[in-house]
Amino acid sequence: MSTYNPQRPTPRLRWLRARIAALGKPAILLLGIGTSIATSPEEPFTRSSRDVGSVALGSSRHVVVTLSQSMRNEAFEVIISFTVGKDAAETQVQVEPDKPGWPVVVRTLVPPATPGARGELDIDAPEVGSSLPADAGSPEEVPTVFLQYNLRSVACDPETAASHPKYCADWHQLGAQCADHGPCRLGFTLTVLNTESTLDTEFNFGAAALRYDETEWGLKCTAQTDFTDKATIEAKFDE
Amino acid sequence: MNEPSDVRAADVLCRPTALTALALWCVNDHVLKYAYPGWLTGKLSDVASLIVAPLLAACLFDLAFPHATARMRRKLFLLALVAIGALMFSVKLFDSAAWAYRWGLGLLQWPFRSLTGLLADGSARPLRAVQLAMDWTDLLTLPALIVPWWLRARKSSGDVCAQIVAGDDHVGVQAP
Repeated sequence: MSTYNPQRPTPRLRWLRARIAALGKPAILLLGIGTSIATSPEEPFTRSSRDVGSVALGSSRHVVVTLSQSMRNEAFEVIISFTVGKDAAETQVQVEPDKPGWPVVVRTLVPPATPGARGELDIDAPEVGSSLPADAGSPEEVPTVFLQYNLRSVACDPETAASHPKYCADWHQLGAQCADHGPCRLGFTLTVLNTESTLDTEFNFGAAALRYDETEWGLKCTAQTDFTDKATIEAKFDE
Repeated sequence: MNEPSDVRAADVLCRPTALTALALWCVNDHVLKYAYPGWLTGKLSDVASLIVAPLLAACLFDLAFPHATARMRRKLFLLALVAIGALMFSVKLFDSAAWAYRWGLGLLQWPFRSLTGLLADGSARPLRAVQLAMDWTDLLTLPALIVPWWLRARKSSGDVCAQIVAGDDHVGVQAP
């Protein structure tokens, strides 16, 4: 005999349960397929050119690219290109995986040119986690080491570097060479090697070809790192 | 009631163990891996995916061949287990397989990312590969493939979808 039971679900509730049951398996199947497709995030360092706007050349302003924690398992390359007039130059920085000191901060300097000239910077860098640009200091903060033209390798001046532990710089004077030949083009590779025991990183500032007009007396190429006084700079110039 | 040898993969997918694995896979991929990056969260998704993926593949087989015999479904399920294991093995060890996985999954994701981009800012997204860490230690999770096999082999005791309906029948039929 059937009797009234207040706990018995109403027809509307029974209908709702039946609908949920009917939709349950397809919904779970769709959720599973969706989870399978979305299981891996996009490769974060597919390059995308990013225009960071005009910068005042000659100001030694530099660009900071901060890379996110999620990228620490992969080696990749950051390319920073800059345009001076009709000429372009490019800086490549190879970032090694899983090194101490993440997130990695990559810096490059805009080469100086005629005061007041302006250039464009494009960053080919990972989209995820990158933040740019950042203006980190004036030229006065950068200690300089003078090189002779044919010198291919030089260590930082320990005293200078020790007094400015954040920076190590290389400065090359080309005045006479350019003055003799008029507009000139120079290719160079600037590598900063860190020999400090806690870090084992090499920043390769790549090859760059910059041209200056005959009124310009020198080319100043500067590398900055977070290394301390154990850093070594190698500057190799094209023949 | 179906015999264990005549189980539909969708029924197995509705069991609490499989649902838990699916939820864990989803949450771990999109929350835990970012909040707690490390060895454990890296392996959790591998384990969960090895539990769920063969069941999903078997579900798709069932949909594609609705009139398949129980014997055929069982064979297809075993084939799914082997295929998922082989996929895991190859993408973790071989560059070409990893490349195919990165771009294949990127291709599957691309329509959804583009649709999202179109809705968000009116621009489609470029096709991109997905991330894949070729870590051979991930192969240590391969024994997790036993779980879906075990789920399918044992008699049903916890089909959540079925329990919703069953609850409707049981409540209120007791004698006064």
